[in-house]
Amino acid sequence: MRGLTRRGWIMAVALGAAHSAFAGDERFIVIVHHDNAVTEVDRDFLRDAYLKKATDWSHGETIRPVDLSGRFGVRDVFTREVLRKTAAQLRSYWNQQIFSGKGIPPVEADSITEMIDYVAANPGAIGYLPAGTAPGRAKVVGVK
Amino acid sequence: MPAPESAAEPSTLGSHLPELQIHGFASEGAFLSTANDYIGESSQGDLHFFEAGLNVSSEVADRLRVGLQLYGRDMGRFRDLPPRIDWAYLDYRWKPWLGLRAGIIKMPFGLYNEYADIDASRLSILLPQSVYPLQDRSALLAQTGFSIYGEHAFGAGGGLEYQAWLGTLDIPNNALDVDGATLDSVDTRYVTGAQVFWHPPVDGLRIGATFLRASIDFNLTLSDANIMALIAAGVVPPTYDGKLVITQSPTSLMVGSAEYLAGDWTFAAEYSRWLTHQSSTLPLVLPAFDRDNERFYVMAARRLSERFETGGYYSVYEVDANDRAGHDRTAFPIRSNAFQRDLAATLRFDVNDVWLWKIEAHFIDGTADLEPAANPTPERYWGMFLLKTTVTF
Repeated sequence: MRGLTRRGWIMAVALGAAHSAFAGDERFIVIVHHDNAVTEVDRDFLRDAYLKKATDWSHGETIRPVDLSGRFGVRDVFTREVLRKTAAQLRSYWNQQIFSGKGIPPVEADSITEMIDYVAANPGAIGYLPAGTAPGRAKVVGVK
Repeated sequence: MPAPESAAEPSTLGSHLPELQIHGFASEGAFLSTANDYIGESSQGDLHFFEAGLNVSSEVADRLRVGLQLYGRDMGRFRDLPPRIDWAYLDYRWKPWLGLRAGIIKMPFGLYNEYADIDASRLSILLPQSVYPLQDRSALLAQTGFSIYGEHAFGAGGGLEYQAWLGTLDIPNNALDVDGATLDSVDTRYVTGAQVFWHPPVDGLRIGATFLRASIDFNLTLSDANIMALIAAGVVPPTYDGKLVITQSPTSLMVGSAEYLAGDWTFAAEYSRWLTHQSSTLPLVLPAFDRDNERFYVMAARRLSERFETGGYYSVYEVDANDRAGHDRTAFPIRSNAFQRDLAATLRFDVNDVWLWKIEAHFIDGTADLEPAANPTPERYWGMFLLKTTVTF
């Protein structure tokens, strides 16, 4: 670091910023059942699906969101960037839903394999994986 | 430590939704006041601050969910043991804009009434008592009947979230303390209401209003001493059996609400009016009157870290909105019984995702929310301190 020139600092800062933006957009991929005709979903739809405010796909199938368990770091990224909540706010939201009887959270997958298997087996399912993970029999859709 | 993100492990979730989800919570705490007895024997210090809930829910079919929660508490003078059914209903969500619930349903009122028991979902131990009085918890928490609900997005205009309901209240006989009489039963002819929240296109902001209207008969039997006194005064015949019906009809509650979640900050404010027309079968003893309560608070909370959160609120309850300072000596022989202004501060510590501790201090001016029988000579300025721990799963 002692040898870093001023130009080097500027480059480092610029690369850091670019990496953050890239990480923000690409640290997870979204997967659906392979028969689902959808090729792209927007973040508002994802948010509503995972907060269980949206019930159906446009083709009528019931949405079945599946979450990764809290031991996966990508869940924090997904919570912050898609659900636009902190982990504490999300816990509070689901506590309110659960104990008032208004809803129950998405099912949780304890492993990547479990996530892929569940999405591949349920026509209405939607899940997410760390970027770069092979989706197996599930289909990757774009996020806009 | 996060799991390796590409870990391939055996599948246990399988291809089906779990058929049943079971959740619960249990809390214990303590409270102490510098003067006056609030909730229980607070001036002596009180360890009766226990509550617990256990619920089961299941999505039995697409869009159809059923659930039930048992709730019990031993909280000062409020006791619901053995546990009773807190809510139990079926919920059919046909479309995002229209769902139907039927059964014993938690009743929306303001931002937090449906969540009043859920310690883990908020910062404070006591919700602002002006709008969410603990003593009304059993009466206002749930209704037996039907509700419709939904939400609708308007694109750039944000979205609306709405509920409307019609039913009756199931008020247990121990929900109210009556001096000089026994409460035999409470008959609610109806309770109805509606709530609308607007979610503007600003993340974390919601603004709404709730209106609730009920008609309630309280069937009482006076104590022998009171019966004798009334007979001696000649206001009832010598054969009077002590039966008395107090009718609150209508009771209209309304509240305007705003909440803003901004990063680690939470801001909330609510303003409420509770209008009651009360009459009785003994108008010479208990003449009819109209009451207009004014209730409001402002609240702020900040999560300091993953483990710590702090904040506070200022809550005001005025028994008569037309006599906020209690100048009417007939209505308020003790002037401080006309109002209660509560400045509260809380610190929350999350040991982990399921276990938390809270400490809370209240600095209070006024005695409006105190039980008169337990506080014949209340002190106007007093403080209260609470400690609570909760486990949620």
